[in-house]
Amino acid sequence: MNKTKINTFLIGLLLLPLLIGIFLFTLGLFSPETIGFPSIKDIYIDFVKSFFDKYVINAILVTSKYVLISTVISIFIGVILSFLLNINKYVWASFEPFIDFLRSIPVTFFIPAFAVILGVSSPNIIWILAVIPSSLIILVNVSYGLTQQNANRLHQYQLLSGNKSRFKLFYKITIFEILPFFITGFKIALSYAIVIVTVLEYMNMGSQIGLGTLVSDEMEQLNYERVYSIIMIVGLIGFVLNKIIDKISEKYVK
Amino acid sequence: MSIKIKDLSFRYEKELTSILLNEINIEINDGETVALLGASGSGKSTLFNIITSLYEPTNGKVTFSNSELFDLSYIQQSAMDMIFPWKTVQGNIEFALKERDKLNDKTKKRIYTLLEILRLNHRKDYYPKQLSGGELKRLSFACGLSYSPKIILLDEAFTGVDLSLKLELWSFLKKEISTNRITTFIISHDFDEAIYLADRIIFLNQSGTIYSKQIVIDRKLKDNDISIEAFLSNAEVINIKKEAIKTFRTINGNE
Repeated sequence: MNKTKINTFLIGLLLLPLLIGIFLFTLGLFSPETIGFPSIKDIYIDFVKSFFDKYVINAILVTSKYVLISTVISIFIGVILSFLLNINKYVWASFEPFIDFLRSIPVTFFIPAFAVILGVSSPNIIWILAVIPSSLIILVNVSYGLTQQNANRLHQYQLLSGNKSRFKLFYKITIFEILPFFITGFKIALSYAIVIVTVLEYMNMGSQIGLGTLVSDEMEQLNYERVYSIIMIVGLIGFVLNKIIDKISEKYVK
Repeated sequence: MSIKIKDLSFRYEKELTSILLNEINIEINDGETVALLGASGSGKSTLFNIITSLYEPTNGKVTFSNSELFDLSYIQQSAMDMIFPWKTVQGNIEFALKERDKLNDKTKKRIYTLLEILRLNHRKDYYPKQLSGGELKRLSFACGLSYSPKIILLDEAFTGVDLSLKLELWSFLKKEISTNRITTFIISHDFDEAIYLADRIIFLNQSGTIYSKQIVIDRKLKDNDISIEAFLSNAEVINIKKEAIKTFRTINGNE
């Protein structure tokens, strides 16, 4: 990140919540003192402090682990399925309605079924549930990329290379053609995974204490500074992971 | 290297009634340049797609003597169709040679020459998205010529190109074709382009057949040193153009 980007990021991080607070306060929409809302300064102080709290660190690791496991498995399932279902346009046409149907169902509706099968405290239930929408979003994006490939360019590859091998065409051209669509799907899937993992933790599912579980616990103890700190940490995890994806992808997506 | 198109017919799978190309017979001799003129939708690009094996003809066949599809270059209207966005300018030009295991000192020298002639040497490390439209067009020509093809197909390759670049590319291509004796087949809507580059002009009419009349352009008119302006303002060339326009209007039912 260059200096201008860092400055822009810091301005957003520090000033935007402050401006929103001033705006809401000026309009008289809420009175922080009467509802026990912590000051922005207190939240920032607690945000920094929370990085020295072993419970928070442990929760970050647990949530990150779930997010990464579910994202990696989603990529694996999503990409493989998209290639299989796009073997020809008829296969895709017959499966697409079912995928759209499945995509429209909120993942929380699957909780009872999976809770019965795996048990509410199963350590696997969180990432398994997160994999459902994340893999579908990757499947849809990669499939779209496959259908949108530039047919003329594929044909040109065969003429320029003098090669008709489908395998070579796949790894020399198709992979690069679908990469921008995959990256988009990957980033959305990652965001889905973060949301679903933290929400399921908040609902006290799974046996480990993640950031969602901590929010729930701190809410019960009326520790609002910590609640907002954790919300910021979740945002920070998403931000960092997205930046890592951007850094990796900018090398290949031109 | 010659191209022989014999009794070629084509219809799209779903359109059972209408034939797009009907009993096409064309022979392009070694080192000859032929321009094909025809109205939009008459099947010119489809013919090129059959020659390059993208489509299978319904009937008939295309054969290359002493040559094969491997030796052919197909330069299309859209430069981005033959450029890979994830490769640099140099990477794109080297691509065909690398794929053919022919990247050596001699071919590298040719790439360097192409970069120089087409004024892309200062952009060799750029990615396509960093280039202007004219530079992309020049790059597409460099890619198509890098591996010294024996046959070139140009499908409205100069459409949308500004006049100065168009003249520059015509002149460059004419030199390449005559120096390397490249057999060239051109699809165009531009009479000047067809007359300047081709040895012979043929016409595709609306019914998908080749019109019986063809126009032969005397090679003597195309002295290598003659400028494009001088060539196009030659009285004989103007008459050829008039004749070509008249034929074109006839096949399209405008006269």
